[in-house]
Amino acid sequence: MSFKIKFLPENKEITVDKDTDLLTAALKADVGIYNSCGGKGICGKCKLKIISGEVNRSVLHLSADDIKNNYILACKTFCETDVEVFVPEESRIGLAEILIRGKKIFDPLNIKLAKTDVSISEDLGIAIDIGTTTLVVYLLNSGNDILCAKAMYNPQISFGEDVITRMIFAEKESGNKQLHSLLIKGINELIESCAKETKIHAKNIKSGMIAANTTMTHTFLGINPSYIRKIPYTPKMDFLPSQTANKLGLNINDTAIVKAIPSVSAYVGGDIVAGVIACNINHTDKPTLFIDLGTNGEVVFGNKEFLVCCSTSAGPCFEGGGIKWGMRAQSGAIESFKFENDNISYKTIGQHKAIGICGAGIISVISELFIKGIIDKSGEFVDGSSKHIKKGEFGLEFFITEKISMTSQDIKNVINSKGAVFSGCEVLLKKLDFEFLQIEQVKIAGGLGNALDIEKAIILGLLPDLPKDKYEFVGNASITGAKECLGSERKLEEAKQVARMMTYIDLSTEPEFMNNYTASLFLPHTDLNLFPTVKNILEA
Amino acid sequence: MEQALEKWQGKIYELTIGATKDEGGTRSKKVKFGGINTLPFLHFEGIVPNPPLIAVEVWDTEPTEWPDVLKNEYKDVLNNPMQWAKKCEDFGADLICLRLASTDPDTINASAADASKTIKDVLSASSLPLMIIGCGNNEKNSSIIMDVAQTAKGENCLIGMAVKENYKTFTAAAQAGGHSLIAETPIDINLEKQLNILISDLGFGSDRIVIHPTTGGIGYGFEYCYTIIERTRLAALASDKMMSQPIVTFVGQETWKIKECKADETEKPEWGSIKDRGFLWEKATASAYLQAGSDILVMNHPKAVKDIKIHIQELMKK
Repeated sequence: MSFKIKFLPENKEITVDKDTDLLTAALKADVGIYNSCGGKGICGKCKLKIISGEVNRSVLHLSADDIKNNYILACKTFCETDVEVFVPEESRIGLAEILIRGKKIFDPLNIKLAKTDVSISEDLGIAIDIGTTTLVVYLLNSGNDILCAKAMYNPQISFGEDVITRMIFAEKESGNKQLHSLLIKGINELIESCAKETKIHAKNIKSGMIAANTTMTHTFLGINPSYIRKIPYTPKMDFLPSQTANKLGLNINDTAIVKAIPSVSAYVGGDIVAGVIACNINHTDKPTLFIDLGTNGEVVFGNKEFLVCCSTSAGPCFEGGGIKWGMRAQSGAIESFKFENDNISYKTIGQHKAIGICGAGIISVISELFIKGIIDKSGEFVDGSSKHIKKGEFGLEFFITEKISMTSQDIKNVINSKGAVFSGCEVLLKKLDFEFLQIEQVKIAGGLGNALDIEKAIILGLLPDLPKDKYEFVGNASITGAKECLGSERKLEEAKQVARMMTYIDLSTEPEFMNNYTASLFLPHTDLNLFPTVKNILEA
Repeated sequence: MEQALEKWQGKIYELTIGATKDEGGTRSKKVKFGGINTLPFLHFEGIVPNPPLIAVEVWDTEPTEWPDVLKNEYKDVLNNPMQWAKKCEDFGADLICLRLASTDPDTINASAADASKTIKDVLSASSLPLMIIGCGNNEKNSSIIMDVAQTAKGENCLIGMAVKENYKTFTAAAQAGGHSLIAETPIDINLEKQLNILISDLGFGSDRIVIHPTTGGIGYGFEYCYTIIERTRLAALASDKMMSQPIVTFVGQETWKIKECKADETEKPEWGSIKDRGFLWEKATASAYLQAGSDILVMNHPKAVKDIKIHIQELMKK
């Protein structure tokens, strides 16, 4: 038996059998729906509203109000008749504005785009950054200038928000194939829209370079990544063979050679190597700390003489995952927050109506509430300290708008993540007998980096307490590195050398890490002497 | 040959429990502990101003889980906290540790008023300084601690256990009643320090906190506890004020629940006489915790208490 499903407001229709859940149906119909657990009914993010028709649903994660108003979880709902469903704004996957909207030199909009009148026969190239969360494509001319930049969500998100869930999915029959083809489909869309905008012929794209974490690189090439998460955590390969576009299914010139920047280990991939190249860490004398505030939270420390790296498994909370009202940095996300005399003011991306809080906003809210005494050092709300604190379903919540709140559990998740990143930095430095004060520059990369307020991140204990002028946002360093490697054979050689020379430190086997980690699960840290400027603020 | 000595910057807080008549209390004496500026009993390296103390447990109800060999030591007084306290005073306890076990909602569920009466009784029966600890239920402990602290107001008691979930109520109670506070954390120096910071941030003097870092019996996690105590001490001696509190360990409680002290000769003939085994185990555990750096040992068996007292005297000799 099969039923017709209509997804509003996009008006997309699809016919499915009775055993297909609505999330899978949406995927087939090309309707982007949030979910971070891979359709297991755990995250509660794929909420849809039934407009008409009968469904068989589970009430898991739904409040009494949700049930009354016909809300359902897409992944746990099956049709019993033809249905019409509405995808609410907060459940929709939109464009990652922040990645193509940032401030600094790495932002494509600030980069001088080359003239678009490309000669018919000119050889073009593409640089692709495949993040767990976001895909970014740069179309480059023969002089390696950017003609066009496009970004979208990684369509694999429908199979889970983090690499582990996707590796598990890859183990299923034809799972890896699906991951691969979805990814290729997404990239092809971006290429097509670049081509359209610049009025070029995609067949003129004759080379490509990808920078991605180890798991993404595997799925891009169609290699099963599932061994990465199994002892002894060894990827099938770190140095990956070049492929022709034809073989990969990319809609560019069939004979175009697509290369991947090599990985270091299971959890430090080519995207990090590209970041090192983009920031020129392999050429500087200055001891440099590089932090990628993505889901894996990779940290690199070193200079041209030495490089060490680790992956802190920070979790998705700086990208909005695991936070009740968390969302990725896109239109309507609260990105900064101020609190004065119990009055709230905030800014959203694109000045749209607030629909959630992105990573930069989450950091802003928690550090502001901490400094103002609304949250104590353990991350608990101080009861009665603000009129905006109300008792919710799961303990106290701070209401930023009538609807959007920050819960105690959210704060705990953020503290866990920031603790992981900070103690990762500590362990790397300690390994080499370095002090924080010896760091001469810090490069912060990631989708969140562009809107990140360094001082607030220090107050939170996420970043080491160093003078602000040592910090630099580098935005999406991964694609910048990919672009440079595409433009210069020498750079690619350097990337290979970096991947070879970088020492990977596995934090799970470092006894020091656990001790540092529990010490960092406090605001800003159990050892306040590590954060002298925060100490001054607190004592003032 | 020149002796190589460690020069420590820090010092453990010295704390007094109990208040005499002049100070608004009714105790015949006060006890002082802590104040050391070196590792335990290293008289050649620093000052060890106070000997470690022994608190003996008095329950407000008969401890049903205790093995007979321990119960027999208190058989006439098990249902009478007043006489029990008196008995402890007689055989040499430095202070009484009153355990309000009957308040546990899973057993008798005694009320705050019942607990207050017991405290008054014990205070009238014995003139030793008092430690008061609740039952195993945090929620219940929080609900009665205000009354407990008020009942004993002016007596400068040591009350507990403040844990992460209830420290706010406990701190307020200790503050209002003029008592000192035991802060308990699950065997982790960072959590230990965090709780001390949280309690001091409420305006409670950090010199009035006593750390309970979790006690494990010998053979049951003692080494972990030893390490945590040692690391706490090293941090304190390096001047970390949030780790410089005296330490209490519950030696008796951890001894008398293990099979080595409960299984009789019919069950384990190869282990020897059950009569000796338990108190020897308690003694061994107590002496091990003295070496770790415990400032107060909370104990049960009178014979173990007597022997450890002598042992402490020996250790205090310069």
